[in-house]
Amino acid sequence: MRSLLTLWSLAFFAFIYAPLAVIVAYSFNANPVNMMIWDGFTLDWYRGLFGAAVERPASDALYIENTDQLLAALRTSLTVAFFTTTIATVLGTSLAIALGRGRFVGQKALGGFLLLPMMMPDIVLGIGLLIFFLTLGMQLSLLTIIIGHCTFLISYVFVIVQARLAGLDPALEEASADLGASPFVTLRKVLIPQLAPGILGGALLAFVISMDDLVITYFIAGTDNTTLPVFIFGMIRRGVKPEINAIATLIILSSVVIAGLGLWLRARKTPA
Amino acid sequence: MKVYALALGLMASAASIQAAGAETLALYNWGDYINPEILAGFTAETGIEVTLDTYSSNEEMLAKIQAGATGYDIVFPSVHMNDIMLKLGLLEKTDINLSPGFAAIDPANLRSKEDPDSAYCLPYAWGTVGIFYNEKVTGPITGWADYFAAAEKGAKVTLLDDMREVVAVGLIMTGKSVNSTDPADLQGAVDYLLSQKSKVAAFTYDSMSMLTSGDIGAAHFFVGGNVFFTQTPDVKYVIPVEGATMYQENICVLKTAPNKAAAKAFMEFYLRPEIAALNVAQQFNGTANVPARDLVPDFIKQNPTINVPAETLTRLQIFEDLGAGLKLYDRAWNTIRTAQ
Repeated sequence: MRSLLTLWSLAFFAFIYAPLAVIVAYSFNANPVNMMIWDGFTLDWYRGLFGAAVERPASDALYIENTDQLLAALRTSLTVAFFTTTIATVLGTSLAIALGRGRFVGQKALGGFLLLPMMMPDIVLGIGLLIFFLTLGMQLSLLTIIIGHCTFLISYVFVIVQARLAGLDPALEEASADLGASPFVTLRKVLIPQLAPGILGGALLAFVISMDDLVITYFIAGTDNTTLPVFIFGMIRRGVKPEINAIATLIILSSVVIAGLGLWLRARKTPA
Repeated sequence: MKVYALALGLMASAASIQAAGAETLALYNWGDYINPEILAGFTAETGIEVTLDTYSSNEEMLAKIQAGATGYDIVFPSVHMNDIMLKLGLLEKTDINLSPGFAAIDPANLRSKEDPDSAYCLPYAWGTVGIFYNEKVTGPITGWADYFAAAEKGAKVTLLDDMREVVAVGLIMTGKSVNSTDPADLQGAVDYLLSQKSKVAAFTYDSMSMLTSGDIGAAHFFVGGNVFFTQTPDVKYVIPVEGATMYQENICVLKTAPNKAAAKAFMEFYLRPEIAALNVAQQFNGTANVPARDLVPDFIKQNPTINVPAETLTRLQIFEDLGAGLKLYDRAWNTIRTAQ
């Protein structure tokens, strides 16, 4: 039984990670046009991404060089993800605290409304946002992407922080108040530390979804604000380029580092 | 430097560019559908900075422009979408047909019904949709009959995941126009395709990598797929003998374009044969620019499936805007995709 379970887990991880391994392997393929044909090992795609001038042989005439555009798209994606994560985390967390601890009319209904943007199909939200921005007379830009992402990412952060909040014992906050702490001190010293894993989880989720979003971003991006997913999707007729594999590999690597750091921090903290 | 100065002078005399450096041009094109050297050359010559955003289908682009997105100067719609956009009043008249370089354009490529004289848009590139096959697996293929016969013998084959292209295969094989809106014609096409469907392994755009790796024996794809098979002599491309579809995209200036003068300058730049040829060499497309056809690399010039001879042209059809008739195709496509 046990060996069967081991086998099952191994098969499961192979299923999940094999496609990633293929991308990593092909990111070192020298063939510039057809990534399915192995032409030898190269680091050129990585060197190109880091700004080194890579001399292409004349036989590579079919290769469409647009590393600059790819890097610009990555920069746009990271900028958007950074700002939306910050804004959505602050707003989503405060909303969760307000709805969880405050007392006012329509509290329940508001909580329900917050789930709507998560359930709405992307295409509806995307077109809705586009028409909204145009009605306001806003020029589509980086700003509209950030605002647009925040509208639904706040909901994700809210849901995660709220789940954490629901599991907390209100007696701790009452005890803090009994001991003379002001509401602000209670928030800072009692509530937020307990919510921290939820806030961090919500922030990470918001970052990943923002980096990933294609449909909504497509509609609310202005000229020259192509994000990485929109850029890659545009290549559908020509096929994926080798630099995309290299960028994907770097993103996988940074995800592993971030996740590892998170696990390490948590392992260090829990005994206290 | 002298060349640039001369070019700048030319541009200025065309009464378009004066304040070089300050101007920008925003292109909105299909992904990887322009040779970056063209953009670099345009900027070097005119000082106009070019930005390039991409889309992956006509409908996607139309949805965004129609909803009111502004900031783009030039779009590259397919001919039928060019007609739709003209009817919707989204495009700007450019009088590009009065430019001196326009004589280079093959009149056969002026395919827009709404803009027959090219007063609005300029033909950009065109190509065929045919069959790629691995001769070792399928044997020689000349058309759809061979393709389905090879599938019957066990070769895995794929069709595009595209409503108009797949229904067109049925219409061609039953001898009808690919733009027919007669329900009986469509029924015939659906019946034909349903009789063949069990032999089709998948409806997909991802077939070129599968063909390279040997997962499939033949695939329905755009002529541009040839870029993947310059190293694999067994994989060949054929324009089916029964008939095939072709596509063409045009360069159009939007009514809302912020930099119309720069857009016109770009169109005139693209009228030059040596510039149009840069695209052919990299995209394996056909060009409407007649002198450019002599400037492309020899292996393209001598390949009759890329540099299509006149007798092949007669069996090609291009998609037109169907208006309300599109619903029939929607229904036919659903029937084909959902049939067991």
